[in-house]
Amino acid sequence: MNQMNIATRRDFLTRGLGIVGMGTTLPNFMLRSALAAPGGASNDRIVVSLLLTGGPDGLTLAPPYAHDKYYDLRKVLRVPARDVLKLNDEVGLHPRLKRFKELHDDGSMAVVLGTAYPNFNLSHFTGREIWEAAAEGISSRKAGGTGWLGRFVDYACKDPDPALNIAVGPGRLPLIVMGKDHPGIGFVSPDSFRFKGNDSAKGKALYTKLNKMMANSAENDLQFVSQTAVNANSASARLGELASQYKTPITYPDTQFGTSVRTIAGMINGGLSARAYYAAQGIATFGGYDTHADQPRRLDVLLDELGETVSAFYRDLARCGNKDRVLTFTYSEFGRRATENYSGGTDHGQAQPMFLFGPGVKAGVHGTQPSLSDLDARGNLKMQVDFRRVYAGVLDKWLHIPSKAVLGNEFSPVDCIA
Amino acid sequence: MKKRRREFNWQWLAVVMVSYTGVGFGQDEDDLTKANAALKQAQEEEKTAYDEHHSRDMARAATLEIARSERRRAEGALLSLREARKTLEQIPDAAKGAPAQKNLSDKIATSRKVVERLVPDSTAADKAAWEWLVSAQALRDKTAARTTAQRNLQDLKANAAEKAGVADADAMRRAVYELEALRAFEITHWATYQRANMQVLVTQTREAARIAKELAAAETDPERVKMLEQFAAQEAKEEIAAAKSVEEAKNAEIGAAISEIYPLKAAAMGGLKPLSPDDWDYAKARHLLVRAGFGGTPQEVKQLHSMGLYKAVAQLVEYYRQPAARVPFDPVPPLAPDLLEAKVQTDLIRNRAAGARRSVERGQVAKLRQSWLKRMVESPRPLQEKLTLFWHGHFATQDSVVNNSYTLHRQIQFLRENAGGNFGALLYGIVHDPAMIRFLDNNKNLKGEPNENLAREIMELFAMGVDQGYTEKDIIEGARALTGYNLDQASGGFRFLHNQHDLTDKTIFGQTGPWTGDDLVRLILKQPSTSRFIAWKLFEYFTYRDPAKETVENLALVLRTNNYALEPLLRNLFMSEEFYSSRAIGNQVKSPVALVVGLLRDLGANQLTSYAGLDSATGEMGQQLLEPPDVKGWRYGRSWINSQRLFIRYNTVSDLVKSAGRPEKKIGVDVLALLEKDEECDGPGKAVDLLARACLARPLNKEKREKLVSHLGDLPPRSEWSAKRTELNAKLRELLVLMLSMPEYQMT
Repeated sequence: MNQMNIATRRDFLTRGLGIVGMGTTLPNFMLRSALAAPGGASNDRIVVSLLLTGGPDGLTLAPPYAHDKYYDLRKVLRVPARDVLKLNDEVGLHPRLKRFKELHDDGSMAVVLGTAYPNFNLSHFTGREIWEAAAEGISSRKAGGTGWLGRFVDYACKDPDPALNIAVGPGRLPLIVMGKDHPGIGFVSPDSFRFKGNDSAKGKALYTKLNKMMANSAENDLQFVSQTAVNANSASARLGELASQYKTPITYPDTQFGTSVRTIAGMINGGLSARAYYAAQGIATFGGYDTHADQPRRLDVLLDELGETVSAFYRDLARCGNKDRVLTFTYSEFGRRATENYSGGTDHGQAQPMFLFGPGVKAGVHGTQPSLSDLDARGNLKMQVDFRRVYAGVLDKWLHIPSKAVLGNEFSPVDCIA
Repeated sequence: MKKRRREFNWQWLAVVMVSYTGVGFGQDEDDLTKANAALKQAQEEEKTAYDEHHSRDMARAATLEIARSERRRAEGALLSLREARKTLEQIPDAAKGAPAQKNLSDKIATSRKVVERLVPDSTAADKAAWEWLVSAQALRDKTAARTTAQRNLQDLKANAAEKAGVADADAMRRAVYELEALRAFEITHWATYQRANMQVLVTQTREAARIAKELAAAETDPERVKMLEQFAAQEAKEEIAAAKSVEEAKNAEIGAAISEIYPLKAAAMGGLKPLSPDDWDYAKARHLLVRAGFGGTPQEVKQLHSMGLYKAVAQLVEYYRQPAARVPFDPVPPLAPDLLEAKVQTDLIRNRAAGARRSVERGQVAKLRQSWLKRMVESPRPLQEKLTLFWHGHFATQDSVVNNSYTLHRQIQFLRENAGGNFGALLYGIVHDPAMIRFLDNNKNLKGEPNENLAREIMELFAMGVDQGYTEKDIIEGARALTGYNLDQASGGFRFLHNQHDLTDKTIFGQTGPWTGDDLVRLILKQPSTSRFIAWKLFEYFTYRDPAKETVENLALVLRTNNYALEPLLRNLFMSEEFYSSRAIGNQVKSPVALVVGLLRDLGANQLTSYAGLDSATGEMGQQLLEPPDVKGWRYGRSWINSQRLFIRYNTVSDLVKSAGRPEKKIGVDVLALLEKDEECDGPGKAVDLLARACLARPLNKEKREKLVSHLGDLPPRSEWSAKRTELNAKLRELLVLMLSMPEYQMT
């Protein structure tokens, strides 16, 4: 356990006790967290999900360089075999993903090929919802407005701490982190998860006083709102503190995505007990991975950013001894068509690779490279692995939680966890 | 109101009330005999009073006619007299003027003769009018006494029935209330009768006075002049008295009687127990405006308060008397794909074309949501919008599924037009609604291939409630009844596909016939669970969660007895004790829409230039219009709140206060203007109280109040306010933001 971690916890504990001393109601989760902190709450394993917005082209990210058919399908967008960072004698990585290769060689990167789901939907919105809900029977409606990481937190943590499932980045709170008992917290930066109506010290102090619990024992909705306010403010204070105090020698790409992941590192290294995080790449960039045209130039930028960010993240986690307890994976709404289009791009398709990171993964290539000649009626690669099998692997083998409880059904786990 | 009642000679009511207390003691039989006798006597007295009034009425009519014709004659005589005088003046030679002179003398004589009849006949008519009034009031009182006697008799019968536990004791009790309502109802009509007749007296005396003055001006004999002037003065006095009587009658009509009829009528018809008009106060007026609308400035609340309970409720419920909001929205049917589009080989181009169409649609839907928010902020009919929002959550339809702004607009417009109309009409409309048909897949409900989606939700979510009086079989049969209820893609209208409608018999709720979707609605409306479910949902939306079964039943009765007309239910609800109970006031979590629209309404800040920010904020807070979470609609209450949303709520409100929805100008809400409108507001304590009164449902906690007062610090004297406007407003806005960033402000 490193120095900074202890300092933060002690600070947290002191602050918690300080509030008790002042005679106000302590947020109900906080007392427990504060007491539990010196123990092992923060040793719990963490899952970080990275959304690659727009549907990345799997055949470019992980080119099946050994197949002649690949060069037929991709006359313009091909990655020449000599440039491919080879993972095995069939597939490799795009040269811009050299950081992934480093992680792979370090035993910290796995790729699962051909992930998809039956009767796929090529709407960005619906596709993303399906991947995030990961519910029985695909339809997100059956999941009652929750995502699988949210349900994981609901299952694993009986603690009502509001800051156990956190999404960092612009836009709506993503479905993936939303649980029933743990609705999840989302912010662009911890700085936005706070009261912004008054920045003066005097005003803030009054705000805090006005948002304390009142001595009102009646069980009514006002009390519920007040308790939520107390929880939110204290979570906000913790997150704000972690963000403002977080210093790291590691350089992240100076982008929305890089900053979001840096924030997540700050929270993990700061000792926050959150179990699930989310960040999205490509939200701020127009269209993200939705490269209907001009694909190579756009992918170069995105893959540099992705590789550098994930690499920085793990170096940063390693610095504080947290590398071993964090598993990161990428997902997207869909993949892209096998055949390139006439605009130097690719159209919506399916069966794409998922990447997993962290010392907890079984490094290497998993799943099966979809056949490049046996395509479906619309020219799409065929599904090899139901994406929920990857989640099942993460739940069963990494988090040690029965995946059926979260996914609603048995899925044979992909053997991608060490 | 009480005071006014006393002024207007309402003592008789007290007398009548006292007479109640005499009944109900002693032996039941004895009482019944006495009550019967009292009724008989009252009937006889009423008959005598009626005969008396009848003869006074005829006398009044006759004297009125005579006086009117005398006035006409007098005017004629005056005209001739003036002409004769004029003719004489135009003849220079006195000798030649002899015939004219003679003529003038004749005319003077005539006019004097006319005056001799005008004065007594007018006086007689005035007298008859007053006698008419006395007899009318006597008859009114006797009629009321007779109704009261009837009521007393009915009361005894109801008491006995209740004692004996007879099945229809309830109905007998309601008959008592009905007689009380009848008495109050008759009294208002007597007042109208009095007002009309006394208005005639006003006219007749005014005319008589005018003519008398003109005659006096034309008269030369000082004695006669004096007499005429005296008569004019007397008629003027009469006019004043008559006008006073008219005024009294007016007060009686709009005041006491009306506010009494309603509660009695409500009691007679079942429904919730009405609040006593004496308990009506500012806080309750604000509660009404907030719940049956979206709130309002302290001035608006004061105005509503001054109307009294009955009129305040009528003002909101009878919203169709107010002008409609003027918020234009141009509905545009979605663009159809170009025929060539499907033939384009390149995905990119095809997708671009489809994308362009979609983006037009997205724009339309955004405009639709924003124009609705604007309407909620600006509409002079807030209850209509509050109800439309309720029905939108009830007949929940999602834009993301329907993908057609045009049909959605039509659906919302339909809900708006029928918002306070009739639930039956709403249910009939919704099975013909293209957006709903699309949303619940009824376009796939075809003969031989039924789709149960719409039939199931109509029973479960739209009309009867989960498992309330229907079976799975009813759903399957109901789905067959709805086959062929389809939509026309091109026009976005309803379309009945005859050849897809299943014509065979269906058995629904035990009734067999070749039912159509319309029959299905009719059968559903006959189920008792329907009125209960709708009454329950409306009660929860407007009042509080989990009402007692009896409360729902009372409200459902109002809905049933009025054939699903919603206005009587709303009137009953908004006048009920329960609506104003401590369980209701300040105990509802504001929906995101209620939060932002309410803020703007409470502060009178309705000059937003764009509603885009408000639209996205409500979405982030969990209530995007046209996108309820699913067919069950929003869940309300605690579901609106989580830690993230709480900050969004706080920060949205704070941004609105600071920018008044015009972030580009950063002008903020003119809080000082609110203070200026209240003359008594001079110090920080009063300023905090005023703002708390304007924005919070319940009195501010004492400790919190003190903290806010000391945070605000001293205010300069009023005389310096306008000079220090900018500085003061900044200070006040800071205070207001802190006051509204509290859990209390999330409640209403």
